[in-house]
Amino acid sequence: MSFQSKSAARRLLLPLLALWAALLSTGCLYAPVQPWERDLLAEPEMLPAPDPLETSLDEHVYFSKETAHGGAGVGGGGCGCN
Amino acid sequence: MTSLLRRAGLALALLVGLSSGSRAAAPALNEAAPLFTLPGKSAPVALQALRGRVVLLDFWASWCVPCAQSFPWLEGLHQRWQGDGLTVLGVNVDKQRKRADAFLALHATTFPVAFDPEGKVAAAYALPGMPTTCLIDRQGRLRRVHTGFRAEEVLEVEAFIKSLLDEAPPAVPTPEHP
Repeated sequence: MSFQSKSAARRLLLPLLALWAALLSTGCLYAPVQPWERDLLAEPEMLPAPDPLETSLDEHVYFSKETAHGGAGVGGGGCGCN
Repeated sequence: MTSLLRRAGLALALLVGLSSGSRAAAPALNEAAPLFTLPGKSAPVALQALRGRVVLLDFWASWCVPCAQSFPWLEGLHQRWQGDGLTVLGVNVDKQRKRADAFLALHATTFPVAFDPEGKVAAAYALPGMPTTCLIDRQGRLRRVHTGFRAEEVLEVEAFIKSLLDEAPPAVPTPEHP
């Protein structure tokens, strides 16, 4: 490899790194579902566990264990009253 | 050194450009309401064609419960004031047209309905919730954005619509409403 092509490779390195970082950062894109987009996304089929009984049992266990964090939903917790 | 800075700047611009959200800002009150043309039940519906009339733009969806509650009221407004210059225009944001049609079969309406399955117009108006009712005056300016439907707010909104109807129409001749 000649000296010139080596420096050309170096020149390319930084832009490529920048591009790579920029593309990676798109993974951090925060795109909340807008009010008018709920529609099909709010269907029961979109739940991770579509079985309502299973979901409610799972959520009860999670909620009871994680009360210090506010459980699976709204705040509060730590009182042991769940 | 300068070129390094330039490259860093470029990378930063890329980062910001790629990662910034696409959410548009809400249209300003008392400024021109965003224009649109959408497919309707039969012919396309254009907001531009309604200049000179007061337009009640109601964004609704089949899955939105308060929307269903508001439909009899919207129909009543349409019946009562369409002769005085009010156009009630329902903009449906269902992804699937068949759901919208099923809703319309259940809630019979005579006011015009437009279909925005991709939510382009909803995004242009940056709806804060569902349903959202936008009131546009005779000059085409967005005058009020109302979210939700509550029975206790009806009279107040009606009074506001009445005040918009009482405003003078624009000086330039406008196309006649069909």
